[in-house]
Amino acid sequence: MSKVSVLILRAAGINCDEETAHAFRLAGAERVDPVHINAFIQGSRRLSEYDVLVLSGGFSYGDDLSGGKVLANEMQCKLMEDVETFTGEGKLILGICNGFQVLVKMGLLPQTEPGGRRQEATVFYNDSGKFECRWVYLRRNPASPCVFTRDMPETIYIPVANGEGKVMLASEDVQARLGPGGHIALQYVNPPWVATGESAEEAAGATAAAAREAAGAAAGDVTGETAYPWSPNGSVDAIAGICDATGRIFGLMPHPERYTHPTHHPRWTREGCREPDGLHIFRNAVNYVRGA
Amino acid sequence: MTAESKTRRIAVVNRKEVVDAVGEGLRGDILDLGIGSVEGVRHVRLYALHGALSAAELDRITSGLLTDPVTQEHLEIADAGLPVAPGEWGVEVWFRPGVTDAVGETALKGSRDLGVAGIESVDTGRGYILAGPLIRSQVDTICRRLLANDVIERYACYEGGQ
Repeated sequence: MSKVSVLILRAAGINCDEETAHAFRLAGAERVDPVHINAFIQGSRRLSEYDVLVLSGGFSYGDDLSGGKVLANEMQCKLMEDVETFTGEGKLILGICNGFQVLVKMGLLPQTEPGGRRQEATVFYNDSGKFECRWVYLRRNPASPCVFTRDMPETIYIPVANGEGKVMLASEDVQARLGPGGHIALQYVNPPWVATGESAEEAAGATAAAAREAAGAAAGDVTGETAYPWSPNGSVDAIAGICDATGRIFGLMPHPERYTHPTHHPRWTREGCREPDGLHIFRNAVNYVRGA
Repeated sequence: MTAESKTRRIAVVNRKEVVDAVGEGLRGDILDLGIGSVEGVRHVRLYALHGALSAAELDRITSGLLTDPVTQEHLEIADAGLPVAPGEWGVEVWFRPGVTDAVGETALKGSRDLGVAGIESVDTGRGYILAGPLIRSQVDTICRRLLANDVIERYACYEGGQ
């Protein structure tokens, strides 16, 4: 059985590296190294040492100019050759929150035209103008080739925390290619007790008891409209996570590393312990590498 | 030919079809000040790039670093200020000399990452275009109480069409 080596790339302002490393260790990775990007730029470390490259959450370079932009440019200008080799060898790349913004702004996601490194999308300021921090329901796309979301439950529940999480696309052509290519791996959906298109005010009528009763049911229909706050950012098609055509490069705005123990769930004392949805994503990555 | 060292002022704004959440939020804040005649606010990011930059290098910084290609557009603005139409007010807020500009330092690092060696420093500021039948005293109130922190920032406001 092959050993799994995971790189958690660090840079100024990244602040979820340790949680993400913990998640990969829980998932069974034998080697998990949080390493600063300068080690790779200066050549003291090599991307080729690893099976999985992870860009974790945080505020790289303060998100001073826009979320993930400076780190995306730094990687494009100083590490792109190594990244191309890494992806060419069939290895995995995961971007969480700020890391997702970096992958999108590098042109690695969604890559609806394979091999193209054109920025086809962006992750922009939330429509609310606020930092949105809460648990959200997501619908997994079973038709997506994404290796990170394989065999997960249809509905996933993990936290989101961002000020710039609105996925926007460069053109209608890109949008037209996303669906057939299976690029949309995760979408925000209404909670189980909220009807499709229902606003938060309308949903407020639902009692807490009804919510608890419905908690195990399937979530709302993503083909309809998922309204704020259930879709926290105003993303096109309620997009929460995107992969490339191979399914080996994946990014998402929510934080799966924040739901890796049953007790992370906000209602675990009432609803009991269950398999943490976030941990499933990391296990999928580790299992993929073992089987590759 | 070597480019001459000078300052280029860049304004970055959301494209018209893109939600300007900052501007919308500020409009509500201005209404909360009791100034009901404000009809709209557009938020502008301002950058002053100092150095010897060729046209290609300037474009590399503005298009490749400062402007989101999907949601924003940029323009170079003259010393006269933001392009404000009659019936609008332009407001610029910049740090006072000596105040650390952390975002400017990030923009400098990002510019150098792009291979632009001639960049010497970057100052950052905020711009606002206020629409509505406002008078100067109201705009001054908005600037002092909402848009600028007078301890560390200075502001300038001007009326369109003047």
